[in-house]
Amino acid sequence: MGCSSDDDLDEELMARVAHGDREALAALVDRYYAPLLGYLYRLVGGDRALAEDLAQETFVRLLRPAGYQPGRACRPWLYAIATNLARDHAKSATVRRQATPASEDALLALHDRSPGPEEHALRAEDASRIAAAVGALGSDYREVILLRFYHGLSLAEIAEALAIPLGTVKSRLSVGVRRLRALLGETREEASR
Amino acid sequence: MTSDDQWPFASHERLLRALREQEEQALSAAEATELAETVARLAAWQAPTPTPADVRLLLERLEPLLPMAPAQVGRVATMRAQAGWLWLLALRQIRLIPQALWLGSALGLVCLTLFGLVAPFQSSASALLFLAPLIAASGAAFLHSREADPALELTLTTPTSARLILLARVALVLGFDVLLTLAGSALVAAAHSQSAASLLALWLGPALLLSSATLCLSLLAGPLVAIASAVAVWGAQLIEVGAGLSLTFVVTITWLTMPLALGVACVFLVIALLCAPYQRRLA
Repeated sequence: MGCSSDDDLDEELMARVAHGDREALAALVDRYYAPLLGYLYRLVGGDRALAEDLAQETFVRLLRPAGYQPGRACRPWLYAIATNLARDHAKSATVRRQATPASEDALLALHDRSPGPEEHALRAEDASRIAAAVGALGSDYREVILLRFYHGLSLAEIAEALAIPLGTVKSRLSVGVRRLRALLGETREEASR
Repeated sequence: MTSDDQWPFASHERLLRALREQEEQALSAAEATELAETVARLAAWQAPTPTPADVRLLLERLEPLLPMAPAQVGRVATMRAQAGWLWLLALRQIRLIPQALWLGSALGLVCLTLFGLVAPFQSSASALLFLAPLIAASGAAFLHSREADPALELTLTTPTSARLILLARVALVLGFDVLLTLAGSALVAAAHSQSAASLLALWLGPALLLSSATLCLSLLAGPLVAIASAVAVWGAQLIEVGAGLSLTFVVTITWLTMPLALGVACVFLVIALLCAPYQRRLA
């Protein structure tokens, strides 16, 4: 995803969806449900149920009349909707951070891939530390880091998705990565004590 | 990472390029490597992926929200326009059908209801069974008759199909009679503390059958012949002549079941619709 042929395909799919094409909708869901779920899952700190709700709501917004403007890049637009939904949720008064950053889902996700219990435990611990460090970043930094490093968006796409200038994207990424390094260093030290 | 959520920086060189791209100032090789190591660690935090069941559920939720395809929009618009036109056609027929037809049916059914309210239930039921189908049949006999409705000649010169005009008139007149008789039956049943459904079952089938047969005959032989035949046939079914010419009403007709009545009524209606355009034009 991310190259111009993908953008063309997205635009074609969106045009077909706007004309009520079910197959195009299925293709769009197939392309973006997993990435959006992953993005939202990490953005909301590992709450899978919430991430699923927000990802589904993102697609619902996508189908709203006059939502998508032809010619606009689809991928940044989808991430923009998802980000706004997550921000709105975070702002709502009822939100309480229930899930710890390293939720059970994060640990379960590793289960099938680990060859042995020892490596399994180590990887789960590492994932938990990273989730905690990413969660400790400010939301501005977390968003750019997730979009850039987990989803491979270009700097311009991130700027479009978050509606911020390109320079701001660069500075947030630069500061965010350094903060992350410091946070991961701290958690490593805590773990070694 | 899963196939749907790939770590985009599997190549170390690509990660270094990405880090240099985001830095406003040049990165030293050592710092770039340190930052790349930090970022590479992110890959360990995996996210869940939707199962096929999740995808199916999402599609089930989204599909009803899909906008209609232009062809579908066109079809719906055409259907709406046609429904609107049929509605206007029916409304106009209300004004074109002679008022005597409405008044005659209404008066007959009001009298029938009043009789039903004061007479014993058995007599009320007999009167309903005998007269309600005849009232409906008399309406049907004159609803497409040039003798009773001189304006029909002009109506039939319009481009609107004669069958459509007949169908609209049948629906209006027959619907009017059935609704009035239904209301009358409900009142009579309530007055005698009986079930309205049993009264309805008594007259509805015969009314539909007799009126469609009369309509068919009126198109073939004229309204007077049709109504006379209806009275004769219906009377023969319901009145038994006993010794000394005493007359007895048969309260139910056992052979005429509702499915049979509806089926035969539809056949008569189809014949009437087929005959409608071939009426002789006199103007």
